[in-house]
Amino acid sequence: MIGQKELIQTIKAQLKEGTLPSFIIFVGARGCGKKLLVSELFGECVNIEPKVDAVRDMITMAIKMANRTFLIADADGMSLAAQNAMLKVVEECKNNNRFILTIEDVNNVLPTIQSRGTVFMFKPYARPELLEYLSMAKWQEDDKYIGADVCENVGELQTLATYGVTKFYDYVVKVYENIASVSGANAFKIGDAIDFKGDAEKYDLKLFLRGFRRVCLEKVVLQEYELYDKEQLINAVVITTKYISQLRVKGINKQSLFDAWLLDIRKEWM
Amino acid sequence: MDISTLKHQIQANAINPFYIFTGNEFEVQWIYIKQMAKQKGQEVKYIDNFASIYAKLKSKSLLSKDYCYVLRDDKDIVTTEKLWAELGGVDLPFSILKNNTLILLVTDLDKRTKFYKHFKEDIVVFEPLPEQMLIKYIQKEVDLSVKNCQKLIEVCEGNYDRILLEIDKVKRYVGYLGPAPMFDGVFAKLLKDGTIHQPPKDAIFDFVDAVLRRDEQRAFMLLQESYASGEATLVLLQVLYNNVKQMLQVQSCTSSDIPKSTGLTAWQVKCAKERIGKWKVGELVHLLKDIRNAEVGIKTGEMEDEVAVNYVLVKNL
Repeated sequence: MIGQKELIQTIKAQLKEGTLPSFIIFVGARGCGKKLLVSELFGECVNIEPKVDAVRDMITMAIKMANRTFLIADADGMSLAAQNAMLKVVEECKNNNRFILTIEDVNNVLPTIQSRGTVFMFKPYARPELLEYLSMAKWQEDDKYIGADVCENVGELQTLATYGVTKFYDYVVKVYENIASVSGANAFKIGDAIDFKGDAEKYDLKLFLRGFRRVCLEKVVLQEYELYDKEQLINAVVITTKYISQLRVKGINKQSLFDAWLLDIRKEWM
Repeated sequence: MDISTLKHQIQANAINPFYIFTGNEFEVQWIYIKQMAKQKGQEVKYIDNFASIYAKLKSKSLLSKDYCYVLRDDKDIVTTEKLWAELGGVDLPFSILKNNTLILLVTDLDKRTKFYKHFKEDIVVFEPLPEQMLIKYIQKEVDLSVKNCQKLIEVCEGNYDRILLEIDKVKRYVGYLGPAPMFDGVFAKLLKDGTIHQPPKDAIFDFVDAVLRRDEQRAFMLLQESYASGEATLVLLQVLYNNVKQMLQVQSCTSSDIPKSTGLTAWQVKCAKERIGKWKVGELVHLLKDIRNAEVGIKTGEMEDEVAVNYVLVKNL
């Protein structure tokens, strides 16, 4: 497990003292290591799907079993019925059982669930932590720095590795070079390579936008102003950062976000 | 209880003291209510709630008049079990109503409730009438051909209330024209000029078309039609967004092979081309952004559902 040192220390200390709460909510971005941490600290868990029937089965199991850890992973999409079903069992944990919920955004669970649990937030990985992981994973030198700039956690690094770092970055550079010069119709086709609906073979939108931002910053640092001047590049960074932050809004339409980003960049650079 | 059983009861003057009517055919319900009241020699009286007549029903006055009481969605009756035994019905001969009749009109009847299970035999569901019966009723009112009757039924979606309203329009127009009217001819004319309202089959697509053709009046009218037919705001925005984007792609395409260049289908390109000329490329870009801002506004709670589409239309049309 890379990073999250303070969190791991806190949990280990509470485990040792016997003060660790019986209902824990781990909150962190996808790929930041929530499930890995759970398996490292608590060993084998009973995995429960975030569905109302599975939660009801969990209640039955919790009555019959003792000293077990029940894990409901990726519970952001859990229905209200499922969340309401688990209220009583997590409040009155018996038989020394423990319940763990992992989610990406704490607002995706009811306040009544939050109030019954103890929330542990995963911090974003620092650049040195990511570089440490990349060294351990034996990435090539150039790819390491791209990875550390574009990704925020180990999960995203692994996703980037599946694309092929060089192939991915070459694509982003190609977009940077052509985005303002192609026709409007062709510009929209850039989105054909981006994943908007969970297609694992296309590039993740967040990674693409961060990659594009990196390309623009790199040009500013290296003072390469052949295509666009410094002000245009900085404005492009600001625009891209704005759209990256909008990706956090629940249910946001990624396709229209991408289209809006595209139109803003073209407006800035044409 | 089905309608034919109720009909036999009316004909045999064996009307129960309490009934529950439900369904969307309000006009037909009232026809039966009037028939029942006429059969028992009662006056129809619409009341707001059962509590207003309860005391009077409990009193033992010999001089009180009998009525056919009608009320809608009364919570006291639906939720107070103590009342159910007093009201009587098919199974209980004694009723607080004595010689009065009480008809409870229920808009939404939940079949899972105790109320439904208790009064199951007293409930009459007024579903849309079959086509043949509607044709018979229409031809009693106006001399329309069977084909035009079927057209009228289709336009009114089988709703007898609406059919009567449209027949009224035909009658008035025929009366205006003078003697020897041709009902079929008048009906065809009123249908063509929109006096007889025809709900659009796909209001949402007609709405998008109206926006892209910059037909403001039609766009706002079809927006209301879309909402009336239950379309969600986000769906409206999404469909509008997709069509505007397609139009932008086609309009800004410089290649001769537009489908290949844009990735759109030939049909999408054809539809987009039919609407070209009403919007400049810059205006389409603004429209696209405003639609997106409206969608984001709804999802973040910054914009209310009801105003989102209106905001986009007012800003861009």
